[in-house]
Amino acid sequence: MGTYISTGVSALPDPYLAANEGIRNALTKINPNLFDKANKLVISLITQEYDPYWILKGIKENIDTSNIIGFTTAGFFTNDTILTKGVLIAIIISDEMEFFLNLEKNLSKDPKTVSYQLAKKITEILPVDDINALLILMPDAISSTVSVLVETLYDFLGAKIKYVGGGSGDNLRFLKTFQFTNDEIASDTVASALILTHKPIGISVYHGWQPISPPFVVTKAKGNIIYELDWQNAFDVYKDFIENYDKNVINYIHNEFAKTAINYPLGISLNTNSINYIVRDLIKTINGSLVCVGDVPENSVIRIMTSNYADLISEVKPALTYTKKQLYNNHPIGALVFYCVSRYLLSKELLLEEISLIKEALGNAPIIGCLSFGEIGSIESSIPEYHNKSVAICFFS
Amino acid sequence: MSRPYFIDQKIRDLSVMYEIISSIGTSLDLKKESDNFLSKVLKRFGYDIGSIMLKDNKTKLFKFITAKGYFKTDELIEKEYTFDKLGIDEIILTKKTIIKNQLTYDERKLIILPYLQDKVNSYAFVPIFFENELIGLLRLFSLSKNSFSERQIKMIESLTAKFAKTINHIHIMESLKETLNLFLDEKEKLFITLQSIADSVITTDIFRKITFINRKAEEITGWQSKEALGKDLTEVFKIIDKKNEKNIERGFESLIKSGEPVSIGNNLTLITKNKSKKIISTGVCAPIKNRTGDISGTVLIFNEIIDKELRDSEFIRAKKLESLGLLAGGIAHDFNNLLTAILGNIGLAMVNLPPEHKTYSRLKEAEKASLKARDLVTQLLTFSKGGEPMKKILSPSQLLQDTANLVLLGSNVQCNFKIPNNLWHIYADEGQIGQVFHNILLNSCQAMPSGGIIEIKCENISLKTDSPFPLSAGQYVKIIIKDTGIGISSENLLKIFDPYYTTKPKGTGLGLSIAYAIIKKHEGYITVNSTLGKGTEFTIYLPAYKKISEEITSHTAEQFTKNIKKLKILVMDDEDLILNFIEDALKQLGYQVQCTKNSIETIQAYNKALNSGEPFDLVILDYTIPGEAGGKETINKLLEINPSLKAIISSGYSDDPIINEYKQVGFKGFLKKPYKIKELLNTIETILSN
Ligand SMILES: Nc1ncnc2c1ncn2[C@@H]1O[C@H](COP(=O)(O)OP(=O)(O)OP(=O)(O)O)[C@@H](O)[C@H]1O
Ligand SMILES: [Mg+2]
Repeated sequence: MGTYISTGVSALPDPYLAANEGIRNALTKINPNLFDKANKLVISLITQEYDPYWILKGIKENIDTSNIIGFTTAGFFTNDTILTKGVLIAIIISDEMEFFLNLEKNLSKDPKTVSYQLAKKITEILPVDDINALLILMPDAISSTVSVLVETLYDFLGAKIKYVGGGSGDNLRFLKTFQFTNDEIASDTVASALILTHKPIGISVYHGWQPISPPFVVTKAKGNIIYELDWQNAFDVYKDFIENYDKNVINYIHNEFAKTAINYPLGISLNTNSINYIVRDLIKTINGSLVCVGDVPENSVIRIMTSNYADLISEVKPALTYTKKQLYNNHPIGALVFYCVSRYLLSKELLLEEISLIKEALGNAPIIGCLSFGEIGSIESSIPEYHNKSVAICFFS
Repeated sequence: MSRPYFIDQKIRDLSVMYEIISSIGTSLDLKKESDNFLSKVLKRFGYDIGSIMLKDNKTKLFKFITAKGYFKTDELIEKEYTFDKLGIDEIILTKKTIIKNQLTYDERKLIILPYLQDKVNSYAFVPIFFENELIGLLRLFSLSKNSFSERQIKMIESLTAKFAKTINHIHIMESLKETLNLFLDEKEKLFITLQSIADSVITTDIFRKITFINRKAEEITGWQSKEALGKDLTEVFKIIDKKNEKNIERGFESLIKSGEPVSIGNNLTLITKNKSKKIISTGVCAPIKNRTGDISGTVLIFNEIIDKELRDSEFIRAKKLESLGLLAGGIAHDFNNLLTAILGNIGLAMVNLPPEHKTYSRLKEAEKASLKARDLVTQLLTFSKGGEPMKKILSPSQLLQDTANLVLLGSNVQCNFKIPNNLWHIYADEGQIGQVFHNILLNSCQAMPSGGIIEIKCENISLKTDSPFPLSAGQYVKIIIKDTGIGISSENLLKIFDPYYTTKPKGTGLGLSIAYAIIKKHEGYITVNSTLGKGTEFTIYLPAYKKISEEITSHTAEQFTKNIKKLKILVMDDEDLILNFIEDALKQLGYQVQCTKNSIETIQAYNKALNSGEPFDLVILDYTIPGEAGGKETINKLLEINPSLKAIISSGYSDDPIINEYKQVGFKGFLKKPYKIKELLNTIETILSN
């Protein structure tokens, strides 16, 4: 048999009806005879207008599985649709894959311990023999916790598994988001799905942002807040540079910080061997500090980044090639994409063009695309990180 | 390589180096520090898996302190992978970093890397040296080939050198901490020990400043540790000479000089914080020497002398006296009544006889013997429970002289008085205290059969709360009676106050025990010192009565008035013997007498006389009428009838507090049974003449 992936969307305003419509759309694309013998995973991406309770109810009435995972996103896309209001239901049906779902609560209270609990559960499931493992992570993107989550998981689970994921987001409005599995719905959690398969899986993260500033030393920082750059007030250093660089922002950087900063994130050198950067989005400034989405280590060296359409699109093809390379000679049968919502907000055409590039690489296999708030994965072969303003892409085979 | 790329590379290298260097040494925790270092190296150099092994200082084995990117990393760290010698042997030999950028199948199999053998494609093992000693190993693995460039390795090596220094610092800190904890543990143990021992301990530095004072020493000196610390030793441990009360130099200086322990002597008087005195025995004052043998201070150990023997004997003695008292109280009352009748009748017989009559002298002898018996009963009564002294203000010097004259009369013993003029008065029962002096003086007299001198010395003395005697603080008159007689052996000295202890063929053995009981009832103290063959010295402390201005009048009304008016007297007593005696006596003396045997009769008789227009001028009531209303109850009723009633209470017991308060109850006078006719008349006269 093998593995089949299909997606269905709905923009019906009623969550129950939308879930029904979405899953039926997905189911029509799959041969019903396959169902009995196969394992199933349902991924449900919903925008914040929808009540997850009714979504789950709608899904369960149409498919018999206890592997439903989902979360609130800023939007989603498939091969032919981009929606910022609606429901996406994706089904992975396979006799080659095994799925293990988990919902770990109270993530922000003690991210390290919660992450360790999750790692512990996974080590119990994961067989010692050689098998490909993918951990899909859907955390609440509360500041500073996701970096710890990713780091802790990697410390204890290591390079044996691949990591992909994105943060729950809501179009930069910072409302309450939900993560859910089967019949558990909650906020401040990390929903995860461990996929074990003998088929290879490809992962990569890309962004295309380029440094425009000299390096600044983060002389004082805690978690996701930068207090000082080069022994000076962080915001002043940042503002001075931006105002010099772009005369247009002079008048509104104070009042409309987020709007300005969306174009000028920070970059932390990935490693000594790579010209790549881990991007840090700035969301606000408090008393001269810069608040980021994700941690910035003290004493790290950052640079202010910017990009244009050409830069951003230029990274896509090499990343897709790198992802595909990890599948060896297997054909991709579908993609799971965590696409930064701020990238989408910068340019909608860009997403359209990227979708067509992905489709090209996939040979028209289905895309499960998520507009996320922060992306989890590895740039090149590095250790997985929590990225901003990036695209984390995962190919199944 | 294009120029911008070159600069960019340099910026990256420098920023990575800067970040990692600045993060080294930010924690004093070995595990945290290693975690952080490894995490930064992996991330900023772009490796996938890594671990740090450190040599255990005690076992000398390499142990994982941290690992990242393994599968089940926590289990790896928990286990002691001492068997995993991968790279260690080689590095110990070559002291050089091992780099493998390509792995053959066999090389890969050598890697004992749980679950990840197949995935690793290159690795580097960097030795961690501190001063040429291999203290650890940083192991880095990459999933890609050729991940370890020479440039990167050089950078990592220089970071590792820095990391090694920090590890060394942490090791030093840890061993310091361990030592400190050991030290603190020891200190605490020592502190607890010194606090809980029964000896008093004070330590000082070489400048005599107090550095420690234990609980016992706090208790004895009265100084709290808080106040005492840092004070000069002589301020807290203040010792004076018993005689001249001058501070004693305790040889502190010589101790510091010689470094030898010194004994400070015994039975020293310590002045406590609140200026009271305590007798202490001093064990030793010894130098405290440090490791190099230099004197760093002194330790002083001492104890308070609490004479346990003294306390125990006091207690037993009190018990014995108490039981004797119970017995005496029982018989003395009856005895008294009998004696009263005897004395009364003798008296009556004598009134009717001229003194030159033969029988008169016989009767006089009988009266003498009876009076002696009465004294003995009185003495016995002082043992009984109440036996409250009838106190008045009196001069002990007068009483001493009177008693001595009486005792020594006709003996070849002389008395020497050393009594200051300003000797305080005492508030005491004259009869009882006189008895004490009498008993002691008599003993002394008897102890010097061939004559000698008794020295009587008195002085005023103020005692503080901590006097070595069981006395409360206050002013006392101290009386010393010293003879040069046969003396008492120290063994017998403990027994002399015991009732019935005697060495004399005709002795009762009650003399001193009575003296003891009397003094005790007066809240005084009696003690004895004696040397066999040399003499004995009794010392008595009696509370002083300081209102000297008060006029002292002793009752020596000698006038015997023969002009007796025909006055009416009502006498109530349950004893026929007494009634007969009184009735006869008073009638002979010209009174009109009526006797009643109980309260009801008395009231009836009183009322009858009152109604007849010839009321009684005086009523004499017995205090106790067995099983019926006594004198106290009766007078209440009589006072209701006649508030200006004149009444006398009589009793054989002097142990009821009412006897001291008879005036409050409404009596005008008190007669102690047995009484002589003279005493009876005297009392009646005094009351009726007022
Ligand atoms: N001044 C003294 N010198 C030597 N021994 C004494 C002296 N005072 C008392 N004792 C000893 O103490 C004993 C007890 O004395 P205590 O006065 O109680 O009884 P007593 O003198 O023996 O009898 P009593 O007092 O009835 O004559 C005496 O028998 C005697 O051995
Ligand atoms: Mg005697």
